[in-house]
Amino acid sequence: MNDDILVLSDVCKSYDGVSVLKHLFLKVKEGEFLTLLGASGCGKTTTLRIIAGLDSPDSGNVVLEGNDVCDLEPNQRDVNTVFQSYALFPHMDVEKNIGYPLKLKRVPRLEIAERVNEILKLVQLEGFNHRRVPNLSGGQKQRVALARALVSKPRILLLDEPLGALDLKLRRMMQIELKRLQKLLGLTFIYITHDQEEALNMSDRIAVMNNGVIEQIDASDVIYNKPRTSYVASFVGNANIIKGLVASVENDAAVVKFCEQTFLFSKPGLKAGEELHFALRTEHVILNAPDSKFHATVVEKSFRGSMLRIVLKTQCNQEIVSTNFGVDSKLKEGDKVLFSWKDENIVLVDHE
Amino acid sequence: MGRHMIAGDLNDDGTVPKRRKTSPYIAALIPLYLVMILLVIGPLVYTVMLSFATNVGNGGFSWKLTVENYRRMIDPVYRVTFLKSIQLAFLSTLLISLIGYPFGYWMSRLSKKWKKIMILLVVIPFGVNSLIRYYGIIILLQSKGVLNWLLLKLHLIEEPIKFLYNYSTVLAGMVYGLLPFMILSVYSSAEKIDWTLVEASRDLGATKTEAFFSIIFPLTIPGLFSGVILSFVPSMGLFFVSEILGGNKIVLVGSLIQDQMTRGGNWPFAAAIAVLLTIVTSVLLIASARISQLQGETRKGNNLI
Repeated sequence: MNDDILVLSDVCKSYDGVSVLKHLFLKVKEGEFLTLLGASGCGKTTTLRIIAGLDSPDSGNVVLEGNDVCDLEPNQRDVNTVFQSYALFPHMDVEKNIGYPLKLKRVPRLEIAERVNEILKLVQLEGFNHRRVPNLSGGQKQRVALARALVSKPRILLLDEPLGALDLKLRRMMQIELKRLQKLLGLTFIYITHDQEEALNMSDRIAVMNNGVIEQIDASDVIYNKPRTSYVASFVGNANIIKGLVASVENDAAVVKFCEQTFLFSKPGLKAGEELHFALRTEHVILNAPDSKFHATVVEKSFRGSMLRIVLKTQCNQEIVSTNFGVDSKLKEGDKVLFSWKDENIVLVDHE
Repeated sequence: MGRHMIAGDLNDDGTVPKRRKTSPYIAALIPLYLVMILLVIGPLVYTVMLSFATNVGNGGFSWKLTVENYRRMIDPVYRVTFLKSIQLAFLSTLLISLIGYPFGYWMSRLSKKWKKIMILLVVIPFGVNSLIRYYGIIILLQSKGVLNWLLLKLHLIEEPIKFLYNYSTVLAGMVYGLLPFMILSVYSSAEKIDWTLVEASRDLGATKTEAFFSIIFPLTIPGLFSGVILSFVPSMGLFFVSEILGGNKIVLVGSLIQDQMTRGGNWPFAAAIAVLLTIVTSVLLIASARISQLQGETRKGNNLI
């Protein structure tokens, strides 16, 4: 069974000789909320523009509902975009902005008015019909842009960091609302953000992009708990990367040397002498437990609202960050501590 | 407007500060006001006064007030001249818009480097006095001129063509002289368009043509209006174009005024025509500014005027 609504395969794109997308593959399932997450410059906006048809790939295919759409103009694709800058038409009022795609489709005027009112209700902007765009607040502009992109019922909605310009409180509210709308309409959303928290909050699946490729695409909890690469681990949820050397192998478990100490890691197929990278979430760092055995010194302590963030420096000069609720707050800079982790909280990752 | 006192206006010790004296720098503006009064407002007032004076012939006049100068303009000869001038101004503005709009828009879509080159090319003619340029056109277009010589050499024509001294030459001259204003004002408004808007319209289902007419064109209307004003107003008054290229056969309001001042020696009548011309163009100017303002309210400072 094939429920992929959109498939990008082997897409390459470069601007002025700099390659932005390097053999990108992406499958999007019908009705899902997929987030492209990555730092700025990773190629996520380019990917979106290629899907929308605003840019064409140098090579590769874009298949929408089984049809190759590479040669189709943006107006011929049943895909709408919510732009980062909203891109509302300044010379039209709210109603004309939202009715714009319907007018292009030659929908009768009365039906346009009806559908505009319907969608205004959906985005909670009833009665805003004749407001002028410059007189709207950021959040209202956001809703109008959303309504305009949704009113013609596209197959896929693309959202390019739509909440980037809003303040934190409004962002949180809009996140919930976007998710609500997406569920309500059963529409496929492809959402771009560089904010990992936003991605984890809203998405069914997250595709972490780095340097023009997708490093990992998985459900949010898998991305968080089982990152595949060190980049994913540190970009999503700020993990520590621990570098160890396999000292010896005994029955499917390796003795890994790290900071003058060793720990056991069970995985078949490891060889002695191999260098390994592990991701360890900051909240999984245990301080001064009876079985803690790695030595470190506290170099920084800061209070982060709900939690305490402590930066340690190990004997071998590596920084380890620990965040915890109500951890022994008597620790102060310069204190010697012992730290450790639970076996199940350490994840082997690829490292480029 | 008085200065409103608020808490922040009090001195540190809580007393009310002394009212600030007029800024000493205002003195620096006096020369400007002098220039304005002497060279702009003065002549204007004088012209209006003169238009009500009585002509005594040969450039002389007496301050006996009369409306005779205005009454005289009802004469069909002058009415026709006025209408012809307006007609020519409309026609040249139309042609200038038709050529200048696409040109200015095209320029706004060029790369940075080519934009600079094109602006330079458009502006270069301003470096040469326009009279000299129009005389240059005569050299190009006269019976034994460069163009006829070329056409004869190429055997495209048997006899020299009479390009000069007719209505279309004057029209072409107007278009030639005023086109840069249109190009530059359309360019400046097209250049400011946020291209994301065009992408958004394409994304929402507009073809290239639909995107142009629903987004780009409405957003460049203020620029087009500025261009219209900048070409319409001068083409009402550029008397030397019709003098040079029209060979006195095409009489426009501008040349009428000049004629009454010099050969006619009737200053009050010349002043009356000038006042009427000023009123007509001002009305047109205000009207277009209004429309332009309505259209462009959402966009910031685009009007050259």
